[in-house]
Amino acid sequence: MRKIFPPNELARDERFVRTKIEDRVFDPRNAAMMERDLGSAKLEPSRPAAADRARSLMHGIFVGEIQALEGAGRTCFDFDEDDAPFALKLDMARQCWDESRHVEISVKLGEWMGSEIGEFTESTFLYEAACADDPVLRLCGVNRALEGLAIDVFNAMKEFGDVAGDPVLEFCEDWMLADEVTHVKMGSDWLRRLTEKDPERRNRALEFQRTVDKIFSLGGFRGESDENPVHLARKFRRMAGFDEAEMDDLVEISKQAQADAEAMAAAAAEGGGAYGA
Amino acid sequence: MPAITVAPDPFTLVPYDASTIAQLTAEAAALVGFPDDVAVTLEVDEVLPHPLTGTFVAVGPEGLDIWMSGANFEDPKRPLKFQPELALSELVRALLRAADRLRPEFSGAPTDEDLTDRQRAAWDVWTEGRAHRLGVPATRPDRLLYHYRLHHGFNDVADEVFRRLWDADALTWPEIDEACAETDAADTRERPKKTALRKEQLRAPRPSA
Amino acid sequence: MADPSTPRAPFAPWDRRELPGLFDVAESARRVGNYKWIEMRLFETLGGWVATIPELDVKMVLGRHCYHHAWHAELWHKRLPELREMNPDRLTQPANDEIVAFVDALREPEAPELTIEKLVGVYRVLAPRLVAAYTYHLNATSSITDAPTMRSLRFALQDEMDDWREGEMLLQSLIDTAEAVERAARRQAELETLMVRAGGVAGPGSLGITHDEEVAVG
Ligand SMILES: [Fe+2]
Ligand SMILES: [Fe+2]
Repeated sequence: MRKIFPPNELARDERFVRTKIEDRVFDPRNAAMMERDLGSAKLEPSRPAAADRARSLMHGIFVGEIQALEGAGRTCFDFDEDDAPFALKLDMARQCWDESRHVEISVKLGEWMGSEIGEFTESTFLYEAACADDPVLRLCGVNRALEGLAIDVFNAMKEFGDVAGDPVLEFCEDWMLADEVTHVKMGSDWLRRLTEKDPERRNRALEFQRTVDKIFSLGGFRGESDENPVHLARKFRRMAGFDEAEMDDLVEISKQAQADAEAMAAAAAEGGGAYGA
Repeated sequence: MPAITVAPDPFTLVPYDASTIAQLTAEAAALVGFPDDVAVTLEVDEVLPHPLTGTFVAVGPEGLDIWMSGANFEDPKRPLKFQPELALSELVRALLRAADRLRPEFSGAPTDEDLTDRQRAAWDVWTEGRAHRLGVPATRPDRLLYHYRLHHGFNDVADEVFRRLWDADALTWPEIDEACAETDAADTRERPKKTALRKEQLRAPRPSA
Repeated sequence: MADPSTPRAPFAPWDRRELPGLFDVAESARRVGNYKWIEMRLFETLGGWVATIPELDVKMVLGRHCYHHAWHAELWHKRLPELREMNPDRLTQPANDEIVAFVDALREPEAPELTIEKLVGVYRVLAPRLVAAYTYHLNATSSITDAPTMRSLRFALQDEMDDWREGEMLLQSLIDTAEAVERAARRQAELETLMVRAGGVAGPGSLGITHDEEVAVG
């Protein structure tokens, strides 16, 4: 088996269909969508298509959990102990088990919500962040950026379950949230430990984290305004080792990502890219 | 076969074909037994992507107007791709509800725009149950159950009403409304202050736009 | 009620533990170091394979088992200093070059259609060998002086037995044609040959006996 396993070869059965992030960014409907006032984008049971939106997000979580499992597993294998200390690898193995449970939980939750495996697309950009050749970058890109996003998403889903009175959803999300706080904390702790005497490496890792955060803000998916479906779960992020300045920075990154997406959509609309006449 | 008009024609943002959709609408009308003398106008909002689904029907002197989000026809696995099987089942549902509205037993039903989430979800269950018995593909009780529970509550009373609505052969609007009152009485959740977004709101332009 | 000042035997009649054991401190430490080494290679391999396996149930099981073996490695890592090895890395070693060759062969398969080959290596060759070596250590060491190692062995054995059974059941569900039977058998023979050359996970003597003639197999 090779070291560093490429994202396009992630093994899946025939139910899974993959899309690229560009497909979403260059969707010809984006510009027209931005002309609409859809009101609060927050996931709430009283919003239109709430069940479909919740199912779609749940499936996104499900494939994200698979990739988090795969990424943690690869970090166990890809590095020898000179690059990744024994204790770090133990943490990654522990994360494997946790993510494996999260996949199990997500499958059950998907069924509970009337969805099924492979109902929606999968994009592999979570795993892509787990392919960096420096373990500190992986821990920043995956554990701090992506698992941080998982904290925000699980918190949003938990609130959705709470408002809807869905006891199963709220129960499951709360358990997963507890695990994700642990994973983000692993990222924060290892970043500190491994870069204590290497500020340059720390900066590189934090820069990588910012890049991943920006990609994953998905043009306004996560933020702190009404237009963002998923909000920053500041309380849980604090528990996981984020400070206030970092979280403020993240809100800025998300705003920037949203502005970029709007500009891109406008450019795409001007340049054509539509179907039919 | 009723006269069927599909707009837009042609589609400009999604690779949908108006004549294919008209053909599927005719197929759905035949399956449902929709009256031939009621003209059908279908407007597909091609701007809305999956999962922003939505369907509204309105029966007037001119005939039937259906407004449907483009997302209702879109393959959830392949953005922008038209899925005929899904489209057919969506059209059957819309036409079943429209056919109900043509019956005197539904004269008291509020318009789609004015239905509460609870009423709409209850009506959708009966519609989906009938579509299922008609052998329409892509009808799934488990899928609808979650949507229904969001609006009727996660409890045994609501689930029992779901089964009743799903299995019902013939219902009147007062019976659907009565079912809603039943689940409402058993629903201990805090009610959302905001009401659901309606068709017009889904289409509303941004204030600055 | 019994008089609390009455002397009692230090070992109750049913406590049959004996002082002598087959291992001195150094030998127990050597074995524990071998265990840590092989458990590490195993958890790394399982973790690496997760991304290469299309069967969702197998993927999830390997994620869980990956942690079990990492935890065993951690148990052994913590036991080493207690066995007078203050630098655990010094004893975290393969038993011999042959076990290294075995591990290299074990982790070789990568392609998505090789799930049977991957699982056979772990659950039909390595897992039974781990169970055997741990059981031997448990039965042979002094049940009084080496009790902390025995406690860890029991924890590890519990996992090994459960995981072995689960892996075997996955294999039985995947091996559904004569061709698959052939593949599994071939793979097992290849790896078993390498394992016999190594003499077991702790080298010749993993089970207390050394078969010189068997070590020469292949
Ligand atoms: Fe997770
Ligand atoms: Fe995680």
